[in-house]
Amino acid sequence: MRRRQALMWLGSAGGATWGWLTGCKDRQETADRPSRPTRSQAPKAPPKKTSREQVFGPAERAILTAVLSRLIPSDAPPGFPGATETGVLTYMERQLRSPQFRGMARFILKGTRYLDRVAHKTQKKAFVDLPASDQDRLLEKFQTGRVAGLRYPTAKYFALVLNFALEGHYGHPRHGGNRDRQTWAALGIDPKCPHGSEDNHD
Amino acid sequence: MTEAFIDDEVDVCVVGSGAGGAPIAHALSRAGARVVVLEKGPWYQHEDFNHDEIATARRDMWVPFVSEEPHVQKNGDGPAFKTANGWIARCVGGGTVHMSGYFYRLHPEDFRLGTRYGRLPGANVADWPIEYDDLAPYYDRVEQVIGVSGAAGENPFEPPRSGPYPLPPVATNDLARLVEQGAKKLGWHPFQVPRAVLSRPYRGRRACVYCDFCGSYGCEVGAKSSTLASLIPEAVATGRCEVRPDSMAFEIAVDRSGRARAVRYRDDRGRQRQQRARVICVAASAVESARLLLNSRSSRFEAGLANGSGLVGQNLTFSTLAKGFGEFERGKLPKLLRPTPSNHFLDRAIQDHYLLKDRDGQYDKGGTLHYILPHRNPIFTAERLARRHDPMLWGAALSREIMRYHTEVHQIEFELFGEFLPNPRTFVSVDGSIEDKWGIPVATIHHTPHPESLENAQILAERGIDLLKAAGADDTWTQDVGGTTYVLQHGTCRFGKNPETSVLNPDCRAHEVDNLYVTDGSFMPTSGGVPTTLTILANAFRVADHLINRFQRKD
Repeated sequence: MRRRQALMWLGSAGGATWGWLTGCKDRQETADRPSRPTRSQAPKAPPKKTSREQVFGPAERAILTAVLSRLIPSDAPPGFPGATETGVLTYMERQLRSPQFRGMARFILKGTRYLDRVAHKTQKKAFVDLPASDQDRLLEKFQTGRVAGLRYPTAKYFALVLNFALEGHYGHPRHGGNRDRQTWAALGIDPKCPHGSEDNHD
Repeated sequence: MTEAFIDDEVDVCVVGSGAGGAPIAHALSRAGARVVVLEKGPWYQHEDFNHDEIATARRDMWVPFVSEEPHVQKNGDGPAFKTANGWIARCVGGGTVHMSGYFYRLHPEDFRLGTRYGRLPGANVADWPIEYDDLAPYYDRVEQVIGVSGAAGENPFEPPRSGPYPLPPVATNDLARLVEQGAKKLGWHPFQVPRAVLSRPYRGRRACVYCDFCGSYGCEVGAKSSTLASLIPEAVATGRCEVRPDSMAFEIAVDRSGRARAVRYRDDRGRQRQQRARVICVAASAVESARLLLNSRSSRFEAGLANGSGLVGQNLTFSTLAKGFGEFERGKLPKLLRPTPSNHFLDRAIQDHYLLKDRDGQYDKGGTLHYILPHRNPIFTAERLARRHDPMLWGAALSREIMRYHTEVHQIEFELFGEFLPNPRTFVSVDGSIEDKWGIPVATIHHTPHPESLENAQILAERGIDLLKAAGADDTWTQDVGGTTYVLQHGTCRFGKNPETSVLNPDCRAHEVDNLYVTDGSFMPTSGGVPTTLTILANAFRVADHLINRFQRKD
């Protein structure tokens, strides 16, 4: 099994494909939850705000903003929106607030702090203060799992953040990312249902 | 544990509402039997479906979160890990709701692979106890009842059929011409793939609107011939079939004489209940049906229900996968083929390599090479392009690649549906150490593809690429060669004449339990070289006829 498969499962359903996050929720948290009636309740937009609890503090949010703008930079290629313009961090925080991803939220919080710590240690600077090329180099190290002396799965961190970045950037705006459908407009695609119900046209 | 709720006895209780369960509910209720269908997932309506990729294709709309209901997987001698592999769908209609609906028939030789490969070392290949001709009328019936669109007579390797498809093939885009040209250059025989998608209005249902989001998605107009859109409503309309969503079966109880008495399940409010029935029909998928039987232990069936032979869960097969891509620079193509197609269906396949002719004397089972346009899911597309590189591409380089993909090139993809050889190292077990959110022991999937399956996947992947090159692709590459398509699953309750080598008899009734049937893919001794949904539906209708006959005889 390749590493990426540990994170995201891509099933092949006859040519098409679905994948999903496996979730990091602690077993304990789910064991006693009764099943809810879900007749005719397709997963729709998640509640706008399930709790006031913030997933990240201002420091981590600043680091992640910098990370996301390296994963999907602005105006590269020219005219193409970046993660900052499409609201990827908003998307990510909204997702990580859901109970399914509580464990994952902690994991990403931790990794984000490590990223900054490694920046301080190796470059004597905060991650956000590094030039873009140095940020990229550090992210590459995280991606390939080559960070000396760190017993934390940085490759998994990188893959998860990239996963959320791509979801938030290219997914449906109802989840808080892809603001004003900017990426779809830039690519000339429109994934809406031509004949679905009103709700599907939003 | 006490069960406050014991439901009145019905004629048939079906566990599962997908390809294996719905035909039983449909045929039996129409014949006058009282039927209850227990479905572990929700009952989506067509208006619940949309193109929200995050909710539909990347979370738990079809399959549960691993944190709630895992499978455990062991590849070869590797470590066990929790996974969502092995789930097909949990919703009314099962996997037919999100399927692409490639409705191929098995070939006559698929029923006799034991004769052909029975001595292959490390494999456990058996003949079917029925022939193609036994199933052929039921293939016709499925195509008629649910609505399949296709063009009979185009494929020289097409299994015999009694007449045309009930509906003409779905419209396909002009890029299909590239595949046809490539195939013809090589002397191969492309044909239009039969689809369980309505090309015209049919039996009160709307025709396909070519929304481009078919596989992995539910159909918002009901034009996909899922059991949700076709069989279930017709069964419910009889007034004799009740479908209970969000009802998780966890045990089949037996009486003193060893007959199946009731299905024990958790209902939509989490309450423990029993549905008593004269006949119990299990169709929860090959993995989950095996799990249910193995979890149904009693003094009479200590190793699990109907498992005196020890074969429940054994001989698990999937479908052997290989993918390939051809990239065409739009500027080099004729003007007509340059724009992004407005209809995403391409649907051309070849079966020239259903048997690999140059492997004479060796294991020569091939499969179907099916050409499509890659899925339009925007997130998945970004991921797929990123994964072409190792490590994954990101940053400006990825954005440029995504932009180029959408504006400067076309990609054509093929997918292999190849035989997955049954073998002693691929099976389902339940060891009880890991439980799902209800406390039900989960299935462990032991997964070790046979080396000969992998070798032939490699050969077929090369042939698939040959076609793309002949079609003029500027660049080609393969992916997941020798992978496994987990949503196509079979074999865990093999049918056969001999109770020592099979779990079910040729009618798909358990050898050891007179009123217990298994009608999902579990019965299949071999997987075939095509997607098997049509075959599962057809066989379930065959079993339904047998059951109707039995009820009429008051047996």
